[in-house]
Amino acid sequence: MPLNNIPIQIKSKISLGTLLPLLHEIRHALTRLLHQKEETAIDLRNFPLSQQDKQTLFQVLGKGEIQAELTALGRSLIWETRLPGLWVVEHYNSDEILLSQSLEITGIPSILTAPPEDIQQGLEQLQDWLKEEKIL
Amino acid sequence: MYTNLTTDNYLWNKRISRRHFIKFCTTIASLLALPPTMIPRIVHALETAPRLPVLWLSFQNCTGCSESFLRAHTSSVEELIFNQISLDYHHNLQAAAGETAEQILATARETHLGEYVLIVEGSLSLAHPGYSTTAGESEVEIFQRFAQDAKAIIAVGTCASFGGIPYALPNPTGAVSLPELVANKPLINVPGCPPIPVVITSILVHLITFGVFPEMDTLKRPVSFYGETVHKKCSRRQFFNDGLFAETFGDNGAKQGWCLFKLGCKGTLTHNACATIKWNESTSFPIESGHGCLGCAEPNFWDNGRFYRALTAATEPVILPYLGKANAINSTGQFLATATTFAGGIALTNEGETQFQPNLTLRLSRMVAIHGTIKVEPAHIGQAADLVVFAAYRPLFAPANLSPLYFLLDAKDNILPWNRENMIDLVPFRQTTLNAEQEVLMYEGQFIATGSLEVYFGYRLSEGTVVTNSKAIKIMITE
Repeated sequence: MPLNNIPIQIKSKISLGTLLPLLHEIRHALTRLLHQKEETAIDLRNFPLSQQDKQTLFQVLGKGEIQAELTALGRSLIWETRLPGLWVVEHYNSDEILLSQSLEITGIPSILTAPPEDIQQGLEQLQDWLKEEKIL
Repeated sequence: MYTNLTTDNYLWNKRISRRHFIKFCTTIASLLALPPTMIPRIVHALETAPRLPVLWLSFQNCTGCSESFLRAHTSSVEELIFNQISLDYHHNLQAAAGETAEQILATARETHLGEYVLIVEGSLSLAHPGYSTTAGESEVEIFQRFAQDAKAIIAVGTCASFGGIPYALPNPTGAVSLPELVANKPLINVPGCPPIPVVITSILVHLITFGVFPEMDTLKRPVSFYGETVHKKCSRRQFFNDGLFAETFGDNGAKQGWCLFKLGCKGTLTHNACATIKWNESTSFPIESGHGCLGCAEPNFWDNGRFYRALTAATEPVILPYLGKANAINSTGQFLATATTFAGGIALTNEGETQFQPNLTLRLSRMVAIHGTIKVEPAHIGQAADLVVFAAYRPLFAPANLSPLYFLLDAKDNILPWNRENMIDLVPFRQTTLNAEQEVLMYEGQFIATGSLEVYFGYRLSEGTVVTNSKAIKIMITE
């Protein structure tokens, strides 16, 4: 029987070296969110993470239940990690270039909630349309 | 068109959603290393503030900084900043020319006295104002006229911030940087050749939001972009830590992405955000692409050592070729015996060579240095003397019987014709008191014409005796 057919996979140990301080910061932030309702944002640009470090980080954090895509000034990808309350927010421009990448420790990232100004604008548009159609 | 509109109105007119706008503000806050709690403040300021009038002046520069800024805006967040500022004047971007352009500039200045932001690209010719003028007005005069009524000044690029290439030796125009001319105005430097465009955007947003420039270091650079060295966040840093270095371009190490330190990379000394923000739409940056950092965002980068020599490499001793015993002629034209000896030669400096040679053939485009030393005979040591430098010149392909033309270097390094009839006519190159070993740094830069040169140098004592090298430094300059 060839070796590949043996149903055992050897997992390499993940090296957390430079990521450890970040993981501790996340741990503290989640504790504050839970007990003091205090939200935190961590800008990943401020950590000297190599491409490899980032891959490991996202591997460790995994993907949770919610993934959202925002289309404004290019795409933005927002997803909850497998740790509820820990979100990854990535902003891209219209050429798919990453502009910023941050971790948000919050119930829901603020960029996902509809801003009152936009609600107002949308409401006015609906009213205008209803008036034009002589419904209102 | 939208000059008098606030951004809020503008966004409304353009139907840009707030999420769109918040995303822009989030990106800028991240770049400026501002805490996320500042984002609402940026949003509020950009929404309510009237558009910021900006005047952009260009002096001794290659316009690469404008190019960098404008290329970026077409496809990234900078497109929005053009809605937040009113770029009222830019030498290279306006359709107007001549008096119309000057009128636009004057009107913009008068309309926004004390409110406009002055962005300056390039260094200014201070010592020789005639080298660069607009409508008869020198660069320094134009700059001072606009600087005195500016709200704040942004020096864009290494030339404006630190003098840059015009300032590099021998600095023929007497160029100076902006900080040397500005004493009583808020000024921020955005060095780089060219600078990273989003730095300019971020500074403008900070100015609109908080009314002041972001935190600066001692060289007046924004800390959030220039606070760390390129090395610190370099993608090849791991190889540096592991002691894996490329030894030559194209060797196995270079192909495997090892550290370029030994190939002259200046990343360890250079403060800039190239490694994090990157270039060409965040594709890469020089080190990642295989070339060491030149240190272009630091003062004197052009003169600061060599681009391809490791920072830790020992300085090779400069050995000047021996030019033999001197010729000494007194004021009546008689040859005298002397123990003075000469050494000297010419070196190519483009690649940082310090191999001085007594004879050299080179192309006109090459940068050279001509240096010499004189071992002065004991009787002359301590005497006041004029150092002199002169050369015999012959054009290329001149007939063999054509006698050469003579030129000398004066105290301002000007090249002047000399008839050679009388040594008394020799204009002093420098005046000095003779040391036992007298150094003469004759020339650094490019030649101005093809042909052959025989270079002589030496000293003239106060009683008229002239002591020069008997064996000339021979140079052939070709196209």
